[in-house]
Amino acid sequence: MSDVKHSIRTTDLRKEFDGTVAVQSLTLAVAEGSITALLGGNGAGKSTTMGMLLGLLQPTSGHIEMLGRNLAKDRHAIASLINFSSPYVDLPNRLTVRQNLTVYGHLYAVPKLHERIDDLAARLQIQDLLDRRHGTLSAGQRTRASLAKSLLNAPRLLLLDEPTASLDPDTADWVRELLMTYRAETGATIFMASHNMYEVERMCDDVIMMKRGAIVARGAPNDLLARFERENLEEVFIDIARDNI
Amino acid sequence: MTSPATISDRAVLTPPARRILGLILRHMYLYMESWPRLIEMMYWPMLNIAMFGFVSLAMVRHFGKVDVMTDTYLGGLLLGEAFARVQIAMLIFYMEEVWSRNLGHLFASPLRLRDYLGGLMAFSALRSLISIFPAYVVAYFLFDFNILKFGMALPFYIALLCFNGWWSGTLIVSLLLRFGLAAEWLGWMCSWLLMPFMAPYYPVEILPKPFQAISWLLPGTYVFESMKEQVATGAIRFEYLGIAFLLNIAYSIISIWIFARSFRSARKSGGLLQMGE
Repeated sequence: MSDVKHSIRTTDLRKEFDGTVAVQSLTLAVAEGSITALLGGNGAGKSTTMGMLLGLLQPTSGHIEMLGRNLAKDRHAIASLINFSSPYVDLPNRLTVRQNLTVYGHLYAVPKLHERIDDLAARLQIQDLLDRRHGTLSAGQRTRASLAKSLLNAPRLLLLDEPTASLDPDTADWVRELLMTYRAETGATIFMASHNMYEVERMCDDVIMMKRGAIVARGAPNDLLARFERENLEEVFIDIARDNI
Repeated sequence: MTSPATISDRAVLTPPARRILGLILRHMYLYMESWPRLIEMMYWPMLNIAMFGFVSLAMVRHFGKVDVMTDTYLGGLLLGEAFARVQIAMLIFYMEEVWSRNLGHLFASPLRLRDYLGGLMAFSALRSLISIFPAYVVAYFLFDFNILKFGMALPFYIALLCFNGWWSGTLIVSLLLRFGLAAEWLGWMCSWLLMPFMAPYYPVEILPKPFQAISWLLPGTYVFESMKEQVATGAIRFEYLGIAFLLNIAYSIISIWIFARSFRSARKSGGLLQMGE
């Protein structure tokens, strides 16, 4: 038996919407402290999987364990230890960045909230944005504000949906550095869905590829390249998407 | 960066009151930053009082019976606003999250359903108090009608009507959770649905028989009946207020059960992730 602890464990996870199968027989384990990528084309089941891990979607069947606890029974205790960021779930546009962080700081019961907000603002270089409305920020600034929200409670598990989507290369690189530093400093686990193969190769210890709701390949980036005899993950991704493998 | 905490650390530091405060702050910030929202909040109750107050004055001049008729009408209007504004505030509280695509963030946080309902109730009470106060002032200065003339019964009337607004507002939010944005217009419509059955300005006997049966099932009807009796004879119908309270309790239990089921249904269908502008 392995000594590795897992931040996420799913067993035979399945989700159907009106008879259409979005995720099927999903059994996976994400090692504690790892950065794991969830890859797949549109409709592969990534967002559905993320939604189930966040407790926003109820699985049709199967079991989810996060941070050693059963999600179905301890959803609220788990929710206080995890956090997420997604470009598809917004923060209120009419509130300033500081107001949004204050609201979520209370929801997550963050101790010494104002100090925490100032600390994160410095880390994420958003001090100048704190009193601006979220809706007036650029895509890059919104991503940083959203990341500040996702780090407010110093999560042990961070779920990210396309963390660098619509960012310029410089900002995207900066975000990747920040996330890797967070993992290195805190030992937290990062589980992210991404379409950016360069990002995945650079950041991730483990890659899970999904297609039609099921896992079709899994391993460290270098292992996948060797197994599929490709130069980069993008080629592996395209081959899987086009059924060339 | 701060080290990740443990479950036991957080259990001590996560009182429901703090989560409810977070929800209230979210909406307070919104109103503080938006003067059109503030004006809208007070505009409709004031307009209703002014317009229907003048209508009642015109009728009084035509038919006579000055005091009883105007007082019944204005009393019904002002107390009816307490009920309607609570209900509408609950609908707005929910819709603001849908419009800003924020439901996913909220319900992925440690927020519990009971916290959410607590936030809904606290915010709606606060918002309706702020929105009806100017209407009370308008009634005093334009029509010489002082709401305080209901004396010790007034807090009971307002509390029971707010209570009625809470459970009916919870049902409306449940409807939206269950059926999504397609039901939004239904939500706004339902905000006024119960009012005619409660007979705020007229005797219940005026309603057709089948409507009267519905009327006596609603807590608000008993409050308005007591109010009308008080205007006419000075007597407060405490037994009616008791019935209103018990009915409110019963309907609250049912509406919370329906709300929890609707939430489960939204988690099954993906409604919490998909709802947005």
